Amino acid sequence: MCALIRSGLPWVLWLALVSLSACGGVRAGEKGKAVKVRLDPARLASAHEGERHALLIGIDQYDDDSWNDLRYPGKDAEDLARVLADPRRGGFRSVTVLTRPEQTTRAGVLEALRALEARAWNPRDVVVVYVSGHGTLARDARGELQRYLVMRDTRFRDVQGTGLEMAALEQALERLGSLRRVLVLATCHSGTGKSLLPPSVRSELERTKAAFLPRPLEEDSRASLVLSASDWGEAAREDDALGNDIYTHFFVQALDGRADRNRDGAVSATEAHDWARRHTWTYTQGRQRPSVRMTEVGADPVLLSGALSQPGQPEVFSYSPRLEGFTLKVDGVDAGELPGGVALPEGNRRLGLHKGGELLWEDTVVLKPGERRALDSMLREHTEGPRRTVSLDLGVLGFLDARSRREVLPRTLMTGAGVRWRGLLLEQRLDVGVDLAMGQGRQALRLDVGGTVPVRHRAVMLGVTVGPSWEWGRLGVSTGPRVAALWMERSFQLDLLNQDERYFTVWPGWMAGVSWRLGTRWVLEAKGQLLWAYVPVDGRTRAVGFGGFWLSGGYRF
Amino acid sequence: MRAPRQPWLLGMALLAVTGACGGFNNGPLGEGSVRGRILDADVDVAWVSVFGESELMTGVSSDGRFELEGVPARTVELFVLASRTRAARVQVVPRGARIIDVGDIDAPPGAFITVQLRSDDGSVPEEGEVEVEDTPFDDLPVDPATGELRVGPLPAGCYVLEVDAKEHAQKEEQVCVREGEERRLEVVLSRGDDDDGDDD
Repeated sequence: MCALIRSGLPWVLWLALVSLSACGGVRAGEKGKAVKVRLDPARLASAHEGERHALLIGIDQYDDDSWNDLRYPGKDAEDLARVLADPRRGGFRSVTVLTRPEQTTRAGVLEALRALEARAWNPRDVVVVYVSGHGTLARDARGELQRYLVMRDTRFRDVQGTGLEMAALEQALERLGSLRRVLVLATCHSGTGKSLLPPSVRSELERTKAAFLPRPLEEDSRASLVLSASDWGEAAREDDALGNDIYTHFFVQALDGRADRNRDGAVSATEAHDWARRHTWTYTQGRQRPSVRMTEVGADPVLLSGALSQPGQPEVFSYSPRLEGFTLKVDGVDAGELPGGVALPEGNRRLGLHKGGELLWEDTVVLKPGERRALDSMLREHTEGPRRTVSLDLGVLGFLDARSRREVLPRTLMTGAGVRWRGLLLEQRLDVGVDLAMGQGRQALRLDVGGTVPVRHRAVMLGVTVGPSWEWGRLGVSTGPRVAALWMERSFQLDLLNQDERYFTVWPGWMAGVSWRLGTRWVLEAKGQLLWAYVPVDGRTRAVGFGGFWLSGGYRF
Repeated sequence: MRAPRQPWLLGMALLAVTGACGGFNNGPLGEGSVRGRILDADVDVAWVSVFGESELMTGVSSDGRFELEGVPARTVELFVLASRTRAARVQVVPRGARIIDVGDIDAPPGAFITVQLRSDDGSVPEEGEVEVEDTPFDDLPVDPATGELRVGPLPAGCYVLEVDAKEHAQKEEQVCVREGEERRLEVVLSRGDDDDGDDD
């Protein structure tokens, strides 16, 4: 379908394939489409209620000979309608099918959309709009390239005036009172497959290259879930053996309940899509990869078939393009390739994302029944990394020179806590750490005159460190200047001397640390710090250094 | 990197110049006290001093107890004069800012050195004096008639005797004595400059 590019324009095909990431191969029977779902997390508590309505449009024939006729859009729509209307499966309250020529004109489709809009909608209602036919790109009134759906009466030379602008279709859906809106577009807009581009657009695309090409619809849709029969850059295909668009065939198949992977009794939009995606990919031997994009994730309340009978198994999923091709491993076992979702047994599960033998991310999560966890959000935290680390520290603090340790104050065993904010300053280049440590001990001074003198000593240090940090895998290094307020006290309870002596200073220093990450959250760190100060001893001021060495256990969040 | 203008830099700078207060003083840790008891002490004459620190000296109580304060907290020798005939030297290691007890000191019979002072012309010098260095035996006058002085009791050991007289050169003699020994020492002073005519 998208495929029937005129043989006299091979450069268009090349341009579409290479530069424009258009729908893939140019051959009869290929198609493109997308599905969009509205989500509202605030209403998820009562998410699975409401009526289901569908508007299915299949356009086989076109008035303008520039658009080649297609074979199965009508049948696709009818087949999908049948399963959606089936009380044992979709249970849709209403299913409107537009396949006849008089119904698939621009005016006819707009009228059907207006009728849909006029219905009294409950926010919990599900609405599915499915369109199968040609798509194209054309300039709008402002001169910008827009996507258009080709209606039966759309003229190749006047797409803007006679086609159905995608933006208009989206806006029509936005006006519906339902918050669970699904848009399936079995079209593409790249000049291949079901798409045919006007010469002026082809010329512009050639000049502007792919970067200017409007991104896939799903990436422009806010708070939407988009299911596509083929990925951006691939062709959707019809298949005579199946008698359908391939993706639609398996999508319809999914709604009979077999796609209910989490066994909650219902088939959600993403479950149906994942089922159709896997089987389409297998059936086409990898040439067509249905895709899905979710820009608002965390739940999928759009049920297309069945009814919830029990809390489903927990699911993890990702439909993010950036995770495409990654393999999800659960407890070390392959659970499937992304994009997609999998249902897992509840409990602690070790999830990992692998690609090419490399581990991108790994974490242990607690999965509860009915829960849906988006890998994207978990990975986002991993990629950006936890910003804060709280740590418990154990270490020693003391004078750097042996003489001072021997005659003034011995090393003090310190315990403390710290907080470190990663990338807090200078455009996330510098970390800021605050630490507080205190300690005490009972040791002895060793004086040349005085001998061994027992002393009780205490120290409190409050420091602020600013500096960069780097990470290489699990290994991290941080360093930077610091300022510390240091309070020290030594007490003598002797026969002839019962006295406390105190010293307080605020002085700059330097810190350096090496850390080793244990999983995503926990980190071990060894830190050293230097602090210079002037310390009055016996009436004379000594310039001395303090040194500290710490071992820390930290939690990142 | 850009020049940071964050307020925290100012804060750090202010903290850095805050400086310090307080400090440590080890002075009181350099001295200690030594206490003990002298057996059969003659309260009228008994005293305890630190050898080499003759200004550190104390008497004894009626039961012979003593406490010597301000003793350097290093190895020292106590010079103990128990009676008119008995004396002892006791090595102790005082501890800083603490009191150590050396226990009972049973001083043995001391040695006596009888100094016979003469001028090189055979006469008895005027205002002759003897000092046992590092001990409280200081500025002991020589009998102007006989030129003799009996110094003691001294614990067994070696001493430096410094002998001086008017219009005579000072002279030092090292003498080692044993317990209970009576020793006679003849010292001949040469007429000449009286170094300082003082009693050092």
